[in-house]
Amino acid sequence: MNVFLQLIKITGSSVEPSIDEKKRSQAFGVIMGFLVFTLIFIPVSGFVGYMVYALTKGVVALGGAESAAAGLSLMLHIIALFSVVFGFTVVMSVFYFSSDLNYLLPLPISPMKIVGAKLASTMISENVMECFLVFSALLGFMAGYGFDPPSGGGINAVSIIAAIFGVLTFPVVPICYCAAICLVVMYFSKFFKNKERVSKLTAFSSIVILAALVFALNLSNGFDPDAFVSQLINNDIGLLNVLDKIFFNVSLLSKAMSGSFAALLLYIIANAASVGIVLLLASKLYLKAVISLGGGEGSASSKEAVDAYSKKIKESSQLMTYFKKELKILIRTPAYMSNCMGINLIWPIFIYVFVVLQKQSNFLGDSIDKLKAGDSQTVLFATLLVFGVSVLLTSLNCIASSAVTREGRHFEVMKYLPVDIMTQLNAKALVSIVVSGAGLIVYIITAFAILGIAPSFTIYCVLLSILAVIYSTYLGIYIDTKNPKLIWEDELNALRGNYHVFYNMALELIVTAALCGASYGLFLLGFLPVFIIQSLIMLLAAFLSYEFYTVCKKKGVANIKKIEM
Amino acid sequence: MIEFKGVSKTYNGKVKALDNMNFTVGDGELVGFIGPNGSGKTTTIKLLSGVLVPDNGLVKVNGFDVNKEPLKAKASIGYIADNPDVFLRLKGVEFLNFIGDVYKTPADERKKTIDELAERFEMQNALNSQILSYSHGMRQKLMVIAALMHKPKVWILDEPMTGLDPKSSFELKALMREHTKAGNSVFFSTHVLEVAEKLCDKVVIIKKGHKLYDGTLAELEKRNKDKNLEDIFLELTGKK
Ligand SMILES: Nc1ncnc2c1ncn2[C@@H]1O[C@H](COP(=O)(O)OP(=O)(O)OP(=O)(O)O)[C@@H](O)[C@H]1O
Ligand SMILES: [Mg+2]
Repeated sequence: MNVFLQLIKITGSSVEPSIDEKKRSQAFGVIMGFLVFTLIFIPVSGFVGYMVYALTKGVVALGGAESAAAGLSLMLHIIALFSVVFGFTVVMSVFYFSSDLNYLLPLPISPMKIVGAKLASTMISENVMECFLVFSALLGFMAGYGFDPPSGGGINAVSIIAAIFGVLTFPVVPICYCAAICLVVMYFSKFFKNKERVSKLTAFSSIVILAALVFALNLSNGFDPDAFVSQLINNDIGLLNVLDKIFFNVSLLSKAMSGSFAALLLYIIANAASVGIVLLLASKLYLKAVISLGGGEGSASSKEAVDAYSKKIKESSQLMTYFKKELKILIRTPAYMSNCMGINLIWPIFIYVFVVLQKQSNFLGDSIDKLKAGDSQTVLFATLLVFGVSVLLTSLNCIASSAVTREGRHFEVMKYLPVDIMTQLNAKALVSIVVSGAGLIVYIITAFAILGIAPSFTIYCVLLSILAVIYSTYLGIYIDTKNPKLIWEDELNALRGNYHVFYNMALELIVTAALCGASYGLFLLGFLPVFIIQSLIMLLAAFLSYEFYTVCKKKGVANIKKIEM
Repeated sequence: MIEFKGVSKTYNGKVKALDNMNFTVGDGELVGFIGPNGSGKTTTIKLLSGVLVPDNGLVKVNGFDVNKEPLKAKASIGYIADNPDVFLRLKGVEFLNFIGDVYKTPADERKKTIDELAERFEMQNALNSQILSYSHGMRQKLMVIAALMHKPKVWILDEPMTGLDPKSSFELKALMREHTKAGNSVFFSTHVLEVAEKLCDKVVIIKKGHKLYDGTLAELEKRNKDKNLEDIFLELTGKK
């Protein structure tokens, strides 16, 4: 058991900052941590809690104690789905591509123990955000249902015990699914030449599955809350019935929350059993798959080999070559591919959900008509929306806010290459600007073309979006130069263990909120025509871009020079 | 030409890794750098390559102060770090091409060096696959090729023989000798005393951040009659 705890510590240790990193800017960390907490965690958890609360009230009023937990179980299903989608890449890199394997595999430790430890540390590291969400969902349910509702039933002592178990153990089943699938896929992937491709494919299919599920929710007639609640009560949502079978833990937990002791017992047994199954699979499948990783290339004749490499020898500028290097690494590293590149593809899903949700009220249709008619308030909102989405997309893919962290242990290369540090930061910025900018331009132009919005407004929005991306990029890079996390065991760790991603988002949310408030305030004052306000926003975006570029050039470069490993 | 004058270096304000270190490597000199583990060799070499900044003292390479004219100094060095695990997702040739661009080496010169060295080190096939799939020795050889493409006058190598097979380390030693014959300087750290003995004009011996000896091997052996280098080294560094 001792060995096992030690292992959890080792496999999880890369998540912790080193003492040195901790010391380097503690006050900054505390302030930013607070911002992240208040701006990101609390609003999201609050939203989840409120949704469950409202749904539970509605369901109990209509359907009584029978179906009290329908709203809760819907939310838990969504949380479980997201855990699976994000869990894949985590499990894949922690199990198979983490560098601690080099030290662990030669030791006389059973594969079951290694997988057990890795499973535990994955759950712990994935659990923080999830804990908040599950906690708020359960709280929302308890508040919505109450101890003694007029319709009978109500929560009891069992519910409270179940809630504690639920918060602590909810990710177990989703992560076990990921682990089991990864173990099987990687075992059979010994037939494929390139393992990394397999793991990339797995990550991508998980995004595709998520997209498919969202579409399968079949809300094509729009979202009508009353109809939705009655569908929930009558188990009329086909997808949920399927999910109920897959995530059996959800219905057990929901029943336990409604006060069933038997369900609580079953819930605990089911969790233990899923861990047991994964460990059993691991003892059979893990070692063979992990050992066969890597491996050389087939040998071509030297003449062919020389021809092949000669074609690749071409000159480009320092900036361009550095840019290409960064881009290749982003594309070829599975963890970066899914978290930095793939993530940009989930935006159409958000848009789809939004389009569906508003169908009933035809909010979008009305707004677009107003926009086309040149209604100034709508034009202003659209402008602010473009700014906000651009900034959010850029910070969400974390290409900028992990730019230095990604260098990891070979950070010193940045120092001995005869390339100006700012040129290197610019190359890193360019990657973020090109990837985020390209995505946004495609989204904006497609959406606006479909909706038939005037070209002049489209061009304005594209320009604004590019400026927003530039500003967000340099801000992200600057934050990452402050205290990059250079010691990590696998690439995913460089992104997940890196709170800069959140810091960046938090700061940008503040700026965006301030911008929205200020421009709407100006608009309400009423003496400025909207195109002036729009121009001011554009100017401000340009100013912010220039400002953070300068901050990077002065303080960011100095920060890099200060870091010694 | 390497000048290292009165240099001290402290890590985190605590660990004094180098204390008032002085030495020079002249043109045409091949100098070995030896000392026990943790004595400050890598620290010295990182100060030369601009990875670290000294607390005080002067570090000059080819007449450029590494801390005042860093880009010029760095561009004139061929540097091989002690750990060759960099940019593992790039293919060998992509890495070389990247380094060529960074050091602004014309493409035809790049190709000439790569052709010659890839053959000497038997790396032609490997260049077309990702560095991730290389063995330690192959990565080391790739770093050697990369460091030499821009024809630097000064080579600075941190334990370059580690992990090389006999043929490759023979080739590397030959390269180092050819380079100094042509009037350039080579400074490298090693734990293999025979290599230092057979190859070097001069050695610098260091212990706990202090220089113990700096001069020719002949002089060192004259001072310690009837002893081989191993005995002298062990005696100097206090292991015997
Ligand atoms: N990043 C660092 N932080 C703190 N101390 C360090 C760091 N790097 C080296 N040191 C310390 O500086 C001293 C010199 O280390 P250095 O790496 O220069 O030794 P070395 O001679 O290269 O050893 P080896 O033969 O093992 O390569 C050692 O005491 C070491 O503990
Ligand atoms: Mg060393």
